[in-house]
Amino acid sequence: MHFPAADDALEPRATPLYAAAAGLSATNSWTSINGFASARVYTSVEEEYKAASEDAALVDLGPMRRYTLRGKDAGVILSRLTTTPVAEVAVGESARGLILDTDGFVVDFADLTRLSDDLYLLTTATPVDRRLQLAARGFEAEALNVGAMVAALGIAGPLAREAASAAGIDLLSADATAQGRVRGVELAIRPVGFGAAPGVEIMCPADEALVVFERLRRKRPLPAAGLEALEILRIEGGVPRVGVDFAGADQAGALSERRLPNEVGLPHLAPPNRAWFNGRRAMKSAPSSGRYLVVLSIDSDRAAPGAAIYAKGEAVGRITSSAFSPRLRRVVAFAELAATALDRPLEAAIAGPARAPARLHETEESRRAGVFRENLKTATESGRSSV
Amino acid sequence: MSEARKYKGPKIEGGIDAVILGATSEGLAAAALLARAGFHVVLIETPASRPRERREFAPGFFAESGDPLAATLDHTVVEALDLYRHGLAFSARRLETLVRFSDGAMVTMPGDPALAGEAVAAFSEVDAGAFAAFLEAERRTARSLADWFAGGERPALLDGAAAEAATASVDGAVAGRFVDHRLEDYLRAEAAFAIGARPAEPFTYLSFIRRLAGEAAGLQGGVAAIEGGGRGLNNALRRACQAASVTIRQTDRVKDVIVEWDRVTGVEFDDGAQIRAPIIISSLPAHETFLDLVGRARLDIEFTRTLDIKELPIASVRFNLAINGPIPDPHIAARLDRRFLFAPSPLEIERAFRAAAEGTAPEAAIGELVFPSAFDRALAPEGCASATLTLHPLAGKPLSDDQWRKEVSGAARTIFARLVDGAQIAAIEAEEALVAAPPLPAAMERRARLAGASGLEGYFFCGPETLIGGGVSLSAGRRAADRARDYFRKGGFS
Repeated sequence: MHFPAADDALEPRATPLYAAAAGLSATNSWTSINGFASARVYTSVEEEYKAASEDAALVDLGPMRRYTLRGKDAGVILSRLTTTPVAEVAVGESARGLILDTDGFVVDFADLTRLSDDLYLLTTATPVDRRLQLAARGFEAEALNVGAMVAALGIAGPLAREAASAAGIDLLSADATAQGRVRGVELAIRPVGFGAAPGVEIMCPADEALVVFERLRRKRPLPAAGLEALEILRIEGGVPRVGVDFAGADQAGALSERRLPNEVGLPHLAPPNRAWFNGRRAMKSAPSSGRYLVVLSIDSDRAAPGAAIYAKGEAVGRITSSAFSPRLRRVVAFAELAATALDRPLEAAIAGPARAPARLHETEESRRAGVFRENLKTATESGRSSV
Repeated sequence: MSEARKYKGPKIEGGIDAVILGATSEGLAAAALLARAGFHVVLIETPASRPRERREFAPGFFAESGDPLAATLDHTVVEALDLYRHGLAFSARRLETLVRFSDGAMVTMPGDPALAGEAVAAFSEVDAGAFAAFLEAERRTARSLADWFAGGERPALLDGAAAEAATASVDGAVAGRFVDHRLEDYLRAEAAFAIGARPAEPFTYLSFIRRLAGEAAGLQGGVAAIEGGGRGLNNALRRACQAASVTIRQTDRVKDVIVEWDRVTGVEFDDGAQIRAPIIISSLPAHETFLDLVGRARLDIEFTRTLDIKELPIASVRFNLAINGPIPDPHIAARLDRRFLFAPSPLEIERAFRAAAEGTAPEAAIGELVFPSAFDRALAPEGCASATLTLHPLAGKPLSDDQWRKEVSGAARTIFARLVDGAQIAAIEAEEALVAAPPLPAAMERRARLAGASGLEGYFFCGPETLIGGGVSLSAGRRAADRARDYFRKGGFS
């Protein structure tokens, strides 16, 4: 679960949890995500990061976009629109994937949960109303934007589950999504990931948001984590951010700015050998930009987005987002690099002429991508030899 | 093999290179072209794709189905298939157009647009030079865009005149050009005919350029009458198919196109029988081709959006008229083997578009009149004449609605009377409503998407949506056959 790029141009609206978030904010530092006010930092980045990576911290997930699809063909629509393996998702299970455009370029992330036989919940980082509407045309299912109706409260950290059950929200069975009524409030709770940290998401009707928040805090005053702390976790986990690390196909200013799943390091989320989804056919023959998004660890305590990456003095890419990782005690950064530079020794520009050594950093996401690429290669090779 | 082990399931045929769906002119052309290139081709004829036979619409008066005139015929197909040897013939080439204006004045446009200057000199001497120069310039533009009109790629860079023509409105392009306004009325009528947008809207002028770009009977911008109308062409193509040993099968319905992974591998019928082939070309309507035979769930979302675009609420309607006795109007009767065009005033055209939008019958509309009996005596009794009048614009309501049919037939009578003085109409029949084309650039964009973007390998399309503004051309069939051949050569199917 991660946020898209900030959109400071909009006058932000309040999420259902805004009052609670504002009460916790000591720094009063805000930004606008999808038109909603979102806290950058509540107290201090270090404390929030520590809580979210070692204990548990609250996150207001209100700015994410949520849709439900209900009807006989809901699964068909979602398997068209997203790359998630909808047919294999049982009730209660979730799947992560991408939304691609017709040319095979990444539009957004798609997080899908099957709530019942013919009811699905789709969570995306940016608005995809129009795409959903087009995908649903001609099918029997009703798509609804439920963003304004539900509040979503995330708990990030290894102890997220314990924190939830301490507050009486112990619906969670194993790894599946659970729904039910807890002390008078209708809830759905599901496991989600916050980059390198695990977590859960609790959804409830918008007007019950503060009740649930109070219950969680009453047992134990959990701290809240703002965007900056989540950003560190996100980069450590290797999850790129739409609009920051790469431009979503709907937002890309030029056609050449669009990126394929493989180029943003997420080939495993759009497997070309899976049954049909929108853009799969085009993806196979789409022109590659020759640039790849990777996570670097840089031996320095600062490196700003936009800074150049060098290989033997030659500029081969730039940093798209960066954060200082207290765990690694150095900067971790997403960088877009030319394909040829991936196996060369790298350096990152720090400030002025100063440069610091940088190397590829293995993240959970890049490990999955690597395994997937290897498997795909083997599958294709064995396919060839059998002909 | 023992009796018990014999396969009893539905019949599955193999060893076939290409299956063509639909026996339309484009489908037949594609089939014949592929077969001549050495492919083993099976053409599947469904009842809807078969042209109607000549029929009697009033006692003693007959009508052929389809457009009696051809303004664009792909000459490369005509040559490649040797269609003249297979019975394609023109009963008239380089048809002259007699234009009648709303004030009753007349001008004759010669069959060869290059001679228009002299014809206009007799009508309005001051405009003769300007008109000839104008037409010549537009013909040059038309030639440069001809490939695009015929289904090719849009030229990457349009030069000055072409760029202007591609975006201009009819009114913008012709207003104030000539001293005699009626010449503008003529151009407006030619341009706005069969197009669903008002002459004042942008992108409408290109349809006039397209009219000049077409080639019929070897003449750019010319109009010809095919012997036997659309059916005559169809018969010639059918003979060409037989000569190239295309197997023609008749069936009521194709159930499905079989898609395996990303490519088509054959078609399936209602009884479970299959024909397996790596190439399928469909000349059926786009909706049937993609949504019914393949299914929405296998197609890209943006692509199905192209299919969902609603048709314009504006149509042209073709009428068949039976005319008793000789035609008294000496200007018309002098020669019936011509094309007659009624060019209303700009105000009348504006009113007609408004009426079409409101769903009422117009007082005046653009009318194109042809006397098929002048080309084929057998179509009308001795001393009488049969006529085909196409009116544009009319509301796109179904002609099965009795009240509406009566109203538009009334409008047709009025316009016929303004075009031809004093003729006695014995019977009038509204034959078919043709949906008007959207402004050309949009229509061509849509055509390109339909032809190329389904993403299914081996599936090619040359259905009615590829013909813009009606009228047979055979280009779509040729393009589909070319693409199929390239695909086969590249071995994409193996």
